Amino acid sequence: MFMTRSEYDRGINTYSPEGRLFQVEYAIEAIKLGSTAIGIQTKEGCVLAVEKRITSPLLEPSSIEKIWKVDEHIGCAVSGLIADARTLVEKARVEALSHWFSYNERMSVESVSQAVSNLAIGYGTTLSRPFGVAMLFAGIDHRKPQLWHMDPSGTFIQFDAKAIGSGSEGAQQSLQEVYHKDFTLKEALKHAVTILKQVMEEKINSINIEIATVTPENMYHLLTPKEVEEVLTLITEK
Amino acid sequence: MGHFDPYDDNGGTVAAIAGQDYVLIASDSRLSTGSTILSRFTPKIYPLSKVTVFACAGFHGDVLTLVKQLEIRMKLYVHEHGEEMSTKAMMALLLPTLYGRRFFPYYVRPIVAGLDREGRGLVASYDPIGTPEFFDYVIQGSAENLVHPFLNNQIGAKKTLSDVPIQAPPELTLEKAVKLLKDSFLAAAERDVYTGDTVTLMAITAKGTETTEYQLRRD
Amino acid sequence: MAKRYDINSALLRDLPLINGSHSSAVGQPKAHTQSPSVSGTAVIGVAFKGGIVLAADTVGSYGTLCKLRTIPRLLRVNKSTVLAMSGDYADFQYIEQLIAKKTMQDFCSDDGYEWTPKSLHSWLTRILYNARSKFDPLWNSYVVGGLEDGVPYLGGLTMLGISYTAPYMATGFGRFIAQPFLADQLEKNPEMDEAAAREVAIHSLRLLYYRNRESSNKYQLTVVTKDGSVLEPIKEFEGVWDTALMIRGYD
Repeated sequence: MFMTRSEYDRGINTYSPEGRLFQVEYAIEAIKLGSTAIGIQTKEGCVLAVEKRITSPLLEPSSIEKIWKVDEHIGCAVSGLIADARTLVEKARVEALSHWFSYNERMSVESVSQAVSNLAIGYGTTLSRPFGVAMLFAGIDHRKPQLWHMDPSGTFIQFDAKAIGSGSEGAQQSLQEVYHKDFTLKEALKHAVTILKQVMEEKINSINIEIATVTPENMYHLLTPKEVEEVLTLITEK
Repeated sequence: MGHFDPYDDNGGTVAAIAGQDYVLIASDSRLSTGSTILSRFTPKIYPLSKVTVFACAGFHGDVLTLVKQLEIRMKLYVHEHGEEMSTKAMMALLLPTLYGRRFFPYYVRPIVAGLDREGRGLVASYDPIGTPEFFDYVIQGSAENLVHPFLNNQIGAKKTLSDVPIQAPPELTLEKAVKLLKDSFLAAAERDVYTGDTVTLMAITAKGTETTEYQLRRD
Repeated sequence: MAKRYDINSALLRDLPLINGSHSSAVGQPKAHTQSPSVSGTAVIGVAFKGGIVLAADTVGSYGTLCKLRTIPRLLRVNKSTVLAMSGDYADFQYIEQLIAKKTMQDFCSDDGYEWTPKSLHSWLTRILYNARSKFDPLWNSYVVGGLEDGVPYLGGLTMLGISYTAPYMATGFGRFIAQPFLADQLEKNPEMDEAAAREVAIHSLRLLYYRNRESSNKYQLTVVTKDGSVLEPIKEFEGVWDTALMIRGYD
């Protein structure tokens, strides 16, 4: 893709003669440098699982956050520039709460993705570059559990299962092979960590991953290290 | 010193009953100002979606403006979220809409009525600055003080203060509810000069909406 | 600064005022019209089978003085839409200008759009409601009439932005004097034709002429049918005062 690169990759709001926005494409590339994140939607709820890169033994692992709560019923996993992600998650939270204020109901996952997308494509007026993050919104609204993916171009699409970040190509392939519409939440958890383990450079443990579930019973729940440990036993037992 | 009053009271009564599987909304069609009648042909019921209606007494200028506001919000919601706003959401939305005008209020007595997602009836009434009240039956407007005790007796008599139902009991069928509201408005038109001409009854069930009209006193 | 406003207010206080009302509060920089001056009284609107008729007399009253005797209070907007006004004449002239301006803009855009009675009624409602919301009311009541997609339309509107539709209507004093008569006539003859509706409208003005000191026997009609709208010339009816002699104290 870089063969046709020219001076048209400088201006963030300038199309190339071929009709491409290079800065947006570069931003999408930037995500592929980020840590891997996986999202799976099942009938019982959604799973988000991310890798945390512990780059130094002196680093406090719990200070790396890659899954955030947007509202009681929505969680968000990110890959890419975490500082940018914070801005977008803030937007998601404000929109979800504003919806609750006006309508006293949970904002749909699609509408939250839409609202964040509006900010993401509006980078030209506020930011000197596109946002360098991809996001997975996992949640439950009055329809059903669902998973939405949004990339730096602001495109948001619903997925049964989606991987983002450096290991996304392999992970997406694996997801495609194992995914089944009748997954239980437990199966989804098992497959998420299995695939995460495959694409991670470090050895997987309860410290260097983060897992969250969104279910009708418990809504958004970020798993404690102990709970993560239990999930990991699912793949070590056999 | 000439003093301009931006408000008027245009009379009229609206009422609604929430049943187990229906909601019934009623309004008279008289629009008055002072002791004179502006129109005998203005029912104060405004459908907002397939399952939600708005009914409103008070100052008709504000009523019309508020209805337009809510219609706009409903349309924007459909564009933004890909489905019609639920009755519950519309009930929630009216609060900030009215309270946003806390210091120059809409002089209105609104009712929101409709079916919830499970098909049960829901009604809510509000004061002019947005305080909501959820109950199985509500009455607003010039004859509310006449009709309320009647419906308390007919529907709410067995209730205690701690027992505030959202729907009327199953014994209160739609047919019975129609009879009750029809009688309520006939009685109201007897004693309240601002209520009369015709009563419009709108019933919403899972099958759809049905509207009927009955003559009231025209004096 | 405050001093200047005080002087202004003092000056305003010395001005002779009609209707005994004062338009500015002490210390307030703005003085909106808070009461009408030259005004027109009731107008009548009747829908009939295939059209509508509006009627008004032609007096512009200044308090109890019959200051202007032949001013038109009906406006032909286009072939499908007409308007009748009661209340402050200056505010009506302002509305006339607004309508003329919008009509000209529509004409220039040449997209085939024109006022319809329903759109004019709705637009006027917003104008009057917004004015009242700014505490700067336009002191008028209106009756908008015409054919909306071939169907007779009659819309009423008050200075506060209260709008409504009905098959017959009257404004101001006409609500007391003419409306009961109109209701009675339409009940007896619900399928009224144009001739009958004209008769009923003129008779309503006659009833007003007998009881309303602000009215006169000089009047105007405007009729909308499928053939278009006509603003008719000012005419006059004769009062019949024979029965007045039977009223004690009349002579």
